[in-house]
Amino acid sequence: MHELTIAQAILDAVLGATAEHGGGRVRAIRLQIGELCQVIDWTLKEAFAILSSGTAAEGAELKIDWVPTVWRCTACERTRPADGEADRCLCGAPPSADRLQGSDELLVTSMDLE
Amino acid sequence: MKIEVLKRVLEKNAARADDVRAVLDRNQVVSINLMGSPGCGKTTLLEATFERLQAETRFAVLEGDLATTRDAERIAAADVPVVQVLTEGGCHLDAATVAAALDRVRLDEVDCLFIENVGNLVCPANFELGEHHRVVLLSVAEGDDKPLKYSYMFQRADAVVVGKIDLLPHCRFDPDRVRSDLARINPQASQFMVSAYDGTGMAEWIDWVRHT
Repeated sequence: MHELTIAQAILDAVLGATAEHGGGRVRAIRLQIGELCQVIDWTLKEAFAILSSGTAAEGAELKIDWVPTVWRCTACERTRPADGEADRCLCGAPPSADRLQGSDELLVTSMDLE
Repeated sequence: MKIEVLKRVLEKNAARADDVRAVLDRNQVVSINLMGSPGCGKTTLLEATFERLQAETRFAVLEGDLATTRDAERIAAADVPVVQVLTEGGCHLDAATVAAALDRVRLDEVDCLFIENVGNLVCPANFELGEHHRVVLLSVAEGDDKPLKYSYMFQRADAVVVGKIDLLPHCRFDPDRVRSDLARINPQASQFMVSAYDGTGMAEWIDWVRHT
């Protein structure tokens, strides 16, 4: 349920940016979220809808660009999804050659204002 | 009209965490954020740690709990100053909560501050508290698949403690699997296998705490 805290922080950031641009209504918000953070899509959207009600961002659509978490093979540098089926890299290197790679960034990248 | 924003969502929390760290540094206090599932043995590990180190190190604890003061009472019984932080349903501590609780700690009388986070392997990972070290405790009864399932929590840890190893004969828990998964997720983390109940492995863990 960290989505509630994160939704509030997104709302604060967006309302702050809206005020800096002289006000208006927020139609859409573009986010970049690293999958490592384990943020759940619909929970974040529900939380945001509730918190933003009655503000300039009420009804704004959250558009999320997810940064995937992958295994990076240190033998051949190939990557594959961390939640995928394959337990080892195509090159045949053992699982011990894998390193987890992903992002824990939570960013508001842009928004549509009118 | 499209507006570029590029703002870190949790930057306020990160800034508060930096403030907390600065206060601790000024008072020469080392802080350790202790995380793990509900019931993994966080409070018991603290009790066993204090029992062994209390004579040489002055400890204090910020005790994060959803509700009840049970854990705080156990720490107080060990003669360690404790401040209860009730999150009232909140699933994690954040830097602002820790900053407020610090006002109630005599920092000039403390060398090492443990922050016992709310029992949870997901949410606390996202929120810096101003700690110097992050420790994740995983008890063998929880299963050996947890580092992969909760990779972010384990990836950010400075130390991973596998606890309740006195229960190993009764659990399907392969310590080698945890070791090999951690080697893929977080090869830098220090690793310990302990039983606070019978004392196995505690010496290595104590040594790590002593050198933080």
